[in-house]
Amino acid sequence: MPKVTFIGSDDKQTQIEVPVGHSLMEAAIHANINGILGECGGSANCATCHVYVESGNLDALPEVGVVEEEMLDATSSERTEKSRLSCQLFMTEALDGLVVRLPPTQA
Amino acid sequence: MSSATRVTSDLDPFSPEFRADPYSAYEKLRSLGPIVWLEKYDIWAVSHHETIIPVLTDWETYSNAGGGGLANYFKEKPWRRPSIILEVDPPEHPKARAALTRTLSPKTLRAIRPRFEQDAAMFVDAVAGRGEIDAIPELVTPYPLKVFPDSVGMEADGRENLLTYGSMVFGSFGPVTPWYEELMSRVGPVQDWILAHCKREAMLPGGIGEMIYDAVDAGDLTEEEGGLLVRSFLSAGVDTTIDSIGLCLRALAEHPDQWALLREDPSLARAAFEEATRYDSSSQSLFRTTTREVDFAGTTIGKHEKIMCFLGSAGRDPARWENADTFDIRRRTVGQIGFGVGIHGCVGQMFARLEAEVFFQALAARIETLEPSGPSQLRLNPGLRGLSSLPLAITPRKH
Repeated sequence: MPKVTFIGSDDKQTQIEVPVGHSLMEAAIHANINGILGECGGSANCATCHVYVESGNLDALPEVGVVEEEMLDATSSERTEKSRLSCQLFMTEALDGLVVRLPPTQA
Repeated sequence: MSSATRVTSDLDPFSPEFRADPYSAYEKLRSLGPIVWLEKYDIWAVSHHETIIPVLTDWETYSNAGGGGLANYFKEKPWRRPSIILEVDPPEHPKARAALTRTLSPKTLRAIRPRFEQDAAMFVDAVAGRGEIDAIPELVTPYPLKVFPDSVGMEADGRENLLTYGSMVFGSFGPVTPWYEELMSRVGPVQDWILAHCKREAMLPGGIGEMIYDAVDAGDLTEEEGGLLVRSFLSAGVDTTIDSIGLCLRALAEHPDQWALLREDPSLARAAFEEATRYDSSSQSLFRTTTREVDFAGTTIGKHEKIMCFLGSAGRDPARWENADTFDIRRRTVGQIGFGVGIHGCVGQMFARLEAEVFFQALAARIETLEPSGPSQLRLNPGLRGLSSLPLAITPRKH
């Protein structure tokens, strides 16, 4: 199963397996990773699953959609060019080894 | 048509008996299997947390263009022009969704929170010393009916039209009954009022209605689409929150231990509302319509067939929730789907959460005891679950 590493704002690293087709947000919630709230449950509506994509197969990431684009403009922590909503990142084999950093705040 | 091996039920999800106690009906439905044919309406029903989610999220197979309710737009003409946000699929959907998402974003909400706090305090203060109240007309209804149209940027006169129109929109999700026909006999003037109040010139400055027209001016939407999105605000923004807040208030009144927790720690207000949305959502069911023949857990579903997805049942599904029938405001509710899920998940859900959080914080700060003082009454709308009456005995908090 492909793996993703989450780096907390305290620099603590947690690697988890994410089933193909599941979102990174769901996987993080399931693994009790602190720093992902996912309040809206994956409707790209709350901007509380914000992550910074640090490294990995970046070409395999899906494009930022128009709705995600609006939400990224409303994140609690600063938006950078690495910002994504983890509810919109669905796991594929090609994304195995992805590393994402969690922002200091989500709400 | 559908497979001969389908499981069939005579359950009527629009009957008064069902409305009075949907949760025991859901238990029975869940025991029948992943998908059940409801012969009274010739529709399918899904009632498990795990099976509802794929139906709600796979929009290519399970379309919203067939209409938000029981009526099948692939086969019959809708009563009003279909919603360009609820009753449409991609590629048209994201454009409207993005415009609404912008207007209802956390950024907007951070700015309007202080006004919500002021209004919630005002409405709670108005009843705190009254002893016995009917909380629905006297406390719950006035709050969304003020803060929501204030946020859109609507004039103060005539706002009761929002309640009637909301009843019509959600009433149309069910079957045509004498109740519905009587309601719709008044549709003309109400619809005229609503459409007039969706227009650009009706928007007061600084509201989210004006933000929709900013998107029109930026070339993101046509003028007509702007009006239809404001119509979506006016359709779905008031009744839904009145019902959700009312059901949460009833749950708290009926569970004194939970009310005590909230009163001791008002920061639990948001969690209490989230739990109430799992436990007793105002949105008990949503519809999808198949775009093709599809195999669903071994049952063949035909093209253009309606599937009723029971969110209310998902919230009580013991396969997903421990002690599913227990109202527990300290529960870890993440993943509850009372607001729907996927591209059509409630676009106003963060707005609703903020409204409710602020309301229950104000209540916890000002009210000591809160108990039912008589039986509550359910309202008669097939598309929404909510109360028309909630008699409460209350005492103010001693400071």
